[in-house]
Amino acid sequence: MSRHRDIRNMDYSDEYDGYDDVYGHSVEDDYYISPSNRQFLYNRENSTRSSEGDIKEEDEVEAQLTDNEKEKLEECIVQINAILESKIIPRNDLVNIIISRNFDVQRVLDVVLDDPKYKQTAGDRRDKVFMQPTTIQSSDLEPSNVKVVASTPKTATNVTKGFELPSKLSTSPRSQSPASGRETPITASTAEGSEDVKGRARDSRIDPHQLYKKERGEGKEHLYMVVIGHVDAGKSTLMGHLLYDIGQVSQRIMHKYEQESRKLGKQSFIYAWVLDETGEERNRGITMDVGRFQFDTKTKSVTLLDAPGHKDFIPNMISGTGQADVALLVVDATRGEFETGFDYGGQTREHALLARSLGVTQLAVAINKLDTVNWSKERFDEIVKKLKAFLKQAGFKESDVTFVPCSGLTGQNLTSKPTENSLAAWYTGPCLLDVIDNFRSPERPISKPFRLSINDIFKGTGAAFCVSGRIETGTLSIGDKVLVCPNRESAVVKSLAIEEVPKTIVFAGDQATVTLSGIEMQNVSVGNILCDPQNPVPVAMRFQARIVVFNVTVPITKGFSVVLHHQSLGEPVIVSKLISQLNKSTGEVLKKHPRFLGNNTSAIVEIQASRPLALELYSECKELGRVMLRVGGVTIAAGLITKIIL
Amino acid sequence: MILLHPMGAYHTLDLELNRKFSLRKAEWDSVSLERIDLACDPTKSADVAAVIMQEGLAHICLITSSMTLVRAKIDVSIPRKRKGFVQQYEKGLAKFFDNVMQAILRHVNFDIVKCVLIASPGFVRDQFYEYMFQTAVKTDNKLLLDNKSKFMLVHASSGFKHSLKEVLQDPAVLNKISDTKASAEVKLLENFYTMLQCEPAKAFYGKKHIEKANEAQAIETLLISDNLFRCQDVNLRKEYVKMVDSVKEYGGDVKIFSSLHISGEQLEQLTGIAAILRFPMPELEDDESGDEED
Ligand SMILES: Nc1nc2c(ncn2[C@@H]2O[C@H](COP(=O)(O)OP(=O)(O)OP(=O)(O)O)[C@@H](O)[C@H]2O)c(=O)[nH]1
Ligand SMILES: [Mg+2]
Repeated sequence: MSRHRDIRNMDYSDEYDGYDDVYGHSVEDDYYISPSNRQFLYNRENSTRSSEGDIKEEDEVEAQLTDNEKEKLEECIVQINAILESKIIPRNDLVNIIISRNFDVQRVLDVVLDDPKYKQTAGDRRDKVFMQPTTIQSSDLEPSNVKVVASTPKTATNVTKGFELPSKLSTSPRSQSPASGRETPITASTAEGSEDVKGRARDSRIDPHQLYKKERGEGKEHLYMVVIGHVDAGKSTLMGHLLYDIGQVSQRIMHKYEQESRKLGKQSFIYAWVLDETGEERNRGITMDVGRFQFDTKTKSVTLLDAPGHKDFIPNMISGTGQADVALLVVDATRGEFETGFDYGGQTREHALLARSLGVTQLAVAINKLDTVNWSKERFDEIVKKLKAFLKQAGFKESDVTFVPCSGLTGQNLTSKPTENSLAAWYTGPCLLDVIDNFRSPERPISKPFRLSINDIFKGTGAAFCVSGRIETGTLSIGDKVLVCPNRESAVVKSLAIEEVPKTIVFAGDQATVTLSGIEMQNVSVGNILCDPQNPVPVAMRFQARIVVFNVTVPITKGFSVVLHHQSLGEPVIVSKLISQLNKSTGEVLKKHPRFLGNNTSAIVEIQASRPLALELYSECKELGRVMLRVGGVTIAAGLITKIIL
Repeated sequence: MILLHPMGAYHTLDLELNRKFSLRKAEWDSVSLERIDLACDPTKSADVAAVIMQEGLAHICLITSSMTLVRAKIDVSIPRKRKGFVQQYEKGLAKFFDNVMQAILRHVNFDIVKCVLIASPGFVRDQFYEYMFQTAVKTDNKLLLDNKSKFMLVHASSGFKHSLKEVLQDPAVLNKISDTKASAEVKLLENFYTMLQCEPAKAFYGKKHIEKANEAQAIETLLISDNLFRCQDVNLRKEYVKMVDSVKEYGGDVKIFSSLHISGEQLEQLTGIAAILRFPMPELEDDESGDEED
């Protein structure tokens, strides 16, 4: 099999002199970067804190701080201890990290959580070896055991550095066996402590449901909620205010946002800043990519995904919605504004249709900015009536849709009953937070083969890199071997985390960050699927789908160029054949080989990509069997994969 | 230097400017002659460059009257914004912008190019433009600074190459560029699709349907890909030439699409031949054979 090297991430400036004819240029073997370079990278950060001398120095460092900095330091320590709930980190270490990370709590946490040195679990010496080959002090390991071995590029794809990490669950039959602690490493050199250890194959004897119960039994149910709606409906403001009200955002930070947003003349966006974090988003007052935040309701632990409303950022919205269990649709009740968002072309409709097509069935609708219409019940009812009819048509069950009046800016009816008399006079239902709490947690397909769709790739601390995405089906543990499709490159799971909290196992439905080893960062791209090597995801360039055509300005014909959205992947493809037109409700074939597909038709079409894609039949895996087709920034159809043509 | 793409396709010659040359061919059909005329028109030289981009993906294209050349494709992955870690995103974006800027400097000849279109969804184009000229000022890049007025920012729905057709239809772009053949082709194909939507019995594609429509002298505008005149089968080639001649004879308009342009590529996917009719021919619609010729 010839491995196709991707040219992603390459530094172009020197490379593409001969790229005149990109129509047919093959880049195979044009570049060669040794995949094993990484092994020579020495993690300086982690290795400077092991001697007594250092600690003394740190004390001195602390003494040199200004009062202001000391105050900041204390604040950081309090925050960090609150999050980590224990004093697993020596204060001196912590001080040093905090200072080196410029008092940025997030970054400090990142260092601490990524550093196995601070893991609470005993018997984790292996982790230390894993991460810090140069600082091991344990006497039972010879230095030669951890020597860095340069491997040939060919084997490098399957190689992990350090040791196999066993699952720490005592229910695992394996951990009771004499071989406990390590799965048979199948490498050329099988010596104890050898560098090259292959990832562990899955053990089918473990019942994932039992594991799930054991791991998550007591905790609150996790729910992923995407917030959608037309641009400027007030999504970020609504959620930012809600987070502030329940104490997820400190007053100090809110004060800072207030000052800074005033400077930009954007005071009305202070709550939105909680979720809109990039300079560009803040300056423009527009969400561009999905913002995330974690909060708890009475019975649920909720991950909030704040989608952008602007038409141009729908690909990001699709990627965010693909990770969500339920959706909150926000509409602006202001006269004229609701109409703009809901009229043909507005994103209220498009978002709702997309959410439904992406598998979201439960929806809450926040009728927002009611302050601008004097909390009018008539206006509320008018909007509810229009939306009800539309949502029903879009495929939402009436019993799965809840409407809630509110105002994100003034904070009415977010976390408690309305205090505004004109609203309290007619509304007695639940507040927004309770509506969120009332969502049902969906089924988690944890016993199916493992699949994760990658929606982000970034550098971790040190030389490792991480991917994050939703576990669509199955489970994933540290040490598991995975296949990255469509490229079919192997990798091994080095560590796992959910919302920055380290885990040893993650389950379908989780949004996890996976640190991978044995694979180059440029060989992985957004939209790739991680899967179980023994049960890999199909890879194909052609497939058939049953599509439903939305409102289109021009009909779909054979040869139509569209952008295919599959999870976080956006890929240009061609509708290569119109196979048959179907009756929308019965699915019966109305016409073979139609010349074109107009508004609101349903059909089977064939789609041709220009490079292989990792796809699943809808019947096998709903999550990876859905596709959206877009043209010129408009969603023209949603489809289910019915046949994969290999 | 003129880059001439003769109809016979697979040979490409580089010819020096202002030097005479002769071109011989056993049989000159009407289509070939027309193409020669077009190619000889000196006003139709490559003076438009376009950068189609979205976060992490950019295509740098040169547009001449006969083709659209993708000179560079930049595809990098940029980490998303994550709670508390916007720096990685911002750094990744800056690196991407730098790559695009280097590619522009490498591939755009500002002596010839009169207009550089920067097209993207969202604010990527504005961010990039700002980045590029800030960098140009910092590094004192005279070339960019002197040509600043040639840059033009336009909307496109994505960074994929086919978004170029949106760019070429933008009225502001049409005003600015002198050679509008590429734009005209986009418009024509769009007209065909609009007709298909509004009056499907007046818009057809595929050889069989088109032949029947032509027999009925119904073709008002014929859209045909130049690739059909290049196919291996000489007889088939002649058939297409004959069809073109007869459409003209009946007073119809014939538009030959360059398969090296964006809409030509699309027409090729749509069997390579399509027509807008003068009057509806619903009887053709029932004939299912149209689409089956693959
Ligand atoms: N009067 C009033 N204004 C509001 C309310 N909620 C939000 N706004 C204003 O609406 C504007 C847009 O708010 P955002 O929260 O950025 O809207 P958004 O839906 O997140 O926008 P995008 O993410 O860009 O789609 C801001 O100026 C807010 O102050 C509200 O309840 N009442
Ligand atoms: Mg927003």
